[in-house]
Amino acid sequence: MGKYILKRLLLMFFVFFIIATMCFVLIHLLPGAPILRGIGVDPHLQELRNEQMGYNDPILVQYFRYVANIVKYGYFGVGYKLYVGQNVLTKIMQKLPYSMIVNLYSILIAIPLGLGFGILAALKKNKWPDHVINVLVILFISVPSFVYAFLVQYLLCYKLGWFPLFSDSIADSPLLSPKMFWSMLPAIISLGFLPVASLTRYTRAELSEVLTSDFMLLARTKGLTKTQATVRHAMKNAMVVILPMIIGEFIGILGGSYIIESIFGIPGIGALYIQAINARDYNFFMAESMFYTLVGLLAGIVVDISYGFIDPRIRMGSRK
Amino acid sequence: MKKKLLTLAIASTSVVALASCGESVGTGYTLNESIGSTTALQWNPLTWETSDDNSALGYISSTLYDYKINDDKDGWEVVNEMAAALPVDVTSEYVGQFGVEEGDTDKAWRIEINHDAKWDNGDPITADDYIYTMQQQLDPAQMNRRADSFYSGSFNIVNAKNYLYAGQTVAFENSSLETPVNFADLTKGDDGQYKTANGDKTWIAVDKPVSFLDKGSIKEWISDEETAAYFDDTNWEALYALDTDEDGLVALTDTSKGYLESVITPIVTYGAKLETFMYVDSTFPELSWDKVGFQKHGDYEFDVVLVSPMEKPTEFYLPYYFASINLVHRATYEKAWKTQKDGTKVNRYNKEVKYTRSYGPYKLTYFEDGKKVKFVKNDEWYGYKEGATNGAEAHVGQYQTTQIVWTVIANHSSELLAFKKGKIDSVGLQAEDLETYGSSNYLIYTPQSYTTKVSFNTDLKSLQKMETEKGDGKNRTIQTVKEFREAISYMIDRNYFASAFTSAAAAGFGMINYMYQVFNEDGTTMAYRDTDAAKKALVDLYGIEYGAGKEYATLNDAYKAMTGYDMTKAKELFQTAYDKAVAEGLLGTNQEVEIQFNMYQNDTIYQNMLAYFNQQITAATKGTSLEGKVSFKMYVDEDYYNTMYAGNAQFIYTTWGGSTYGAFGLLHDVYCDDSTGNGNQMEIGYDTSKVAVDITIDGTKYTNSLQAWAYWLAGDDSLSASIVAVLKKAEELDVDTKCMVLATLENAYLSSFVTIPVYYRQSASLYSKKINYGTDTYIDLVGFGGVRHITYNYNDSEWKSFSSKASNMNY
Repeated sequence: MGKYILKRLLLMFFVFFIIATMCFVLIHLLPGAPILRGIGVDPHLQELRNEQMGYNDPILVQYFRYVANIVKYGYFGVGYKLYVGQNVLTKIMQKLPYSMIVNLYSILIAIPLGLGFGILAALKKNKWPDHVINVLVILFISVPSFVYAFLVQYLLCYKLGWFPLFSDSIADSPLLSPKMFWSMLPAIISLGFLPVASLTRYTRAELSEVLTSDFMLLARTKGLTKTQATVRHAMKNAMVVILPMIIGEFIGILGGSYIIESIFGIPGIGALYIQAINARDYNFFMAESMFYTLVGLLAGIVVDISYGFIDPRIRMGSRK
Repeated sequence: MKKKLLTLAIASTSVVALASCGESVGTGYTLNESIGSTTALQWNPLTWETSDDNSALGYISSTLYDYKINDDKDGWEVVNEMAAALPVDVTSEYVGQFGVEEGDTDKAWRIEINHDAKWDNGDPITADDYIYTMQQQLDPAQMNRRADSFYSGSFNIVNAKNYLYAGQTVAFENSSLETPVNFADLTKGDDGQYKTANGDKTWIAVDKPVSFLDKGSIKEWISDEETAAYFDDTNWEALYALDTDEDGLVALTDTSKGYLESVITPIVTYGAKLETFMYVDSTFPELSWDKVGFQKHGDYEFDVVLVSPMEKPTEFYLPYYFASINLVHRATYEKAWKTQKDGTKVNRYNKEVKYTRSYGPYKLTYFEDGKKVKFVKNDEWYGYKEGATNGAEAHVGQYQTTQIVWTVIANHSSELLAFKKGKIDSVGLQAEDLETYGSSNYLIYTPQSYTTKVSFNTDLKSLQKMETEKGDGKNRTIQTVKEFREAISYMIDRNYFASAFTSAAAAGFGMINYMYQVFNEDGTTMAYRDTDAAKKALVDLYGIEYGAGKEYATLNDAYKAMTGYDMTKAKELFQTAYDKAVAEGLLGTNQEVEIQFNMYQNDTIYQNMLAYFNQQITAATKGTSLEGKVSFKMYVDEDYYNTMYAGNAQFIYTTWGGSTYGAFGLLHDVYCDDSTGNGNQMEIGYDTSKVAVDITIDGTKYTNSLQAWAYWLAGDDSLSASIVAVLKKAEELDVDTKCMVLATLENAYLSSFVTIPVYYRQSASLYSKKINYGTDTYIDLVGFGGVRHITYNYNDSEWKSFSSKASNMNY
């Protein structure tokens, strides 16, 4: 297993390097970046500023300097158009906790709900609870998350006044305080709809299949109750597929929270990526690209390794 | 069961307790505003970029001079703030220095600053602060974004640019040089590169902006399939390969010259030549500060020496330009430097709260990225102190706001909800919101300088080329017939169009809207559009008659009644256009006409606009020989301006705006390209050098081209020599005559119907019941009065109570 993990890590760094290089080249190939050509702006002043930032050097020179700064100092540069002159890594690290916390709350709520509804639907297959759950699942999978985010904001925050319209400022409540949690709840709920629906769907599908397996019949004939057989045997088998999906959902939420963050005033990193591309801020774009790439690749490895733990019959990297 | 009930009760109590938690609210007056993002926010006077930056800077700084609403609430007046008095002309003291010559005036100005001004930490502000700030602003090592404010345009401080560029060698575009270089005057160096007589190297721009290509580069044009045909690519790769250091410039040698001349062969007929694509090195020697026209004169006085005399009227421009100088606090600025791990230095001044200093009515006390920014009253500000220079007595009834809070709200619907909950005090409206709030008493309109028009390509050759390329048998050349374009103008109901398809725009009839101001002799301003000459230009254009026995008694009556919408007239004109087009062989008798409408995108608004054009043209051609034969077709084209420049579009929206004090230069800047087609004119095929315009000045009638008049009016002699030879400079004319000339030119341009004004852009917003603006009508320079003039109907605690009742929050 250790050898397998090492091999995967080496391959991961190789893929990471290729993706980072491609991102670097592609953003630099975008036309017009990052020179401003507005009326009233001295174009030569812009040129000289670009010169100072090293943006006029050949792309290869810029790339090697960029990589060298990361390797030698862990330095990702400073903002050029966003957070002008501020350290990119510091800024991202400041914003990351907001996104992480909202996503974490969301997935922590989504997992039990998704599994619960999925199990219920599987156990009550083709009965009214299953039909109701299926309709809701299709609804929440089909409708984009921002639609119910706006609905949540309008109904729960504006009309009913149960929650504030926007998440609290840390000046008013610490990040991990109950009050902050309460203010983030509309965002957490909005973020949670899709993973709950997806988990429900997968759990129902997997569990329905497992429940009809021969070994389940054997378990029941051994004298296990339906609940015992479901929890001890059916769920464990179904989790081989569901657990990797949970990890995938976490990654999916991390990348897709831009609109939810915007609606509920969560000062996370979701919006930063889009803004970095629009503003042609190379350093922010690169740092965020690398972050998402790394998270995605690591998640892939974690998912693969998790198979072995969930089902010992799966042997990673074994030739036999 | 009991246990469950207890748990439920605790949970419910917690929820209620949590829900009722809120900020403590006092009896102050908080102005709550929303901003879209803080990612680019900085309040640094040397580097600010966005309007939010400028707003933040406005709260924490005081400019030398400012503007407030006048007592009659119908205009603005200048007030001294950081300055103790208006600038004094001291040009005579500088004769022999800084390029000032005997007899010069209005070049050197002395400003006495407010002796009672202090930083928010109590440090006094002296002339040294101004000198230090300007030294940082123009520091070559920093290359600060706002440095060009002090050497561009009319406010050009002596040697400001040379100080900023000191020690650098910069390649400038040849055409931007005061005296452009001719290849014949160059000499070849030992390395084969051509040099000027001064020994400056010359280059060919392969991937650098060139004015001739509308600030694009050869590489950009040749890579774009729409514009590639303008170049011969046989030797392009060889030429581009010479740019080994990828700086976009190639040394001008015999080899590169040969390649370039081959590449630009197809556009030589448009006036392109080697010199058009040349860049020339300029070396800036080291320069000490004593050579810069910004010097301390005493502890509380500094002098500014300009390259050219201050623009006239000086009463207006002196405070206007000097208001752009903001300060940095020396000790804080120097502490704010940080050396990054790669050795580069960055300055955090006014980018982080820790390194922020204020000297305005408010100070920035809290910044939470992506969330909130707070400004509170700066108790050290002279304006709050009795007996201080420009003190409390000068600010009676102003700055009632005790705190300003910015909340980041990134999307409009959330912003609207926040407004209706009383969380923010103003909100911008979109088109669909006006259905709900269009008649609100709290609705205000902010006009913009932009006028949106539709413009035609009338270049027969390019239209014929389009016809051939499309090969669908449809006609695209009928739009070269003036009556066809005029008919389209009359078929547009501008009032309906503006209300149906824009958020808040007003119907537009002229090229120049109400925002453009002209100066009276005393330095005050008036809207060009409100002058009789400007009104007459449009009334005549749309054929509205007035006077004794006519439908309208006076010019004003006719102007007010003007709609530019007349379907009967449109019908007649379409028939005339058809007859002419057939007679001229442009149109077959049964040929269909398609007008390619290049639009930025195809969202619902654009589709509705297109549907409107088609609906109107169908109605207007009914009963004519063009019935059922003409249609507009949408082509989505994000780069439609350049498509039009390249002659590959038939019909586009064009929108121009800008400096609202530049009315007399507008036709020159964007409507009348020079003889080689250089410029911003989008009405392709309309050659203003061939349009004769008669203008009578001082009783004498002069005839010249529209282009020459436009250049002359803008003070550009390059294409108006024939007018300059017989007439004094336009700037020497009185304002009425200049307005008359401008109106005549505007009428002449619009009479060709190559461009048709549709709407004047403006935005709409709601303000809350908590506040009152200084004025309900937008005033040039002061808007609605800003935070200076905002007064409150409720303090914070009263407002919290008031806004908690939904019935109170109807707008």
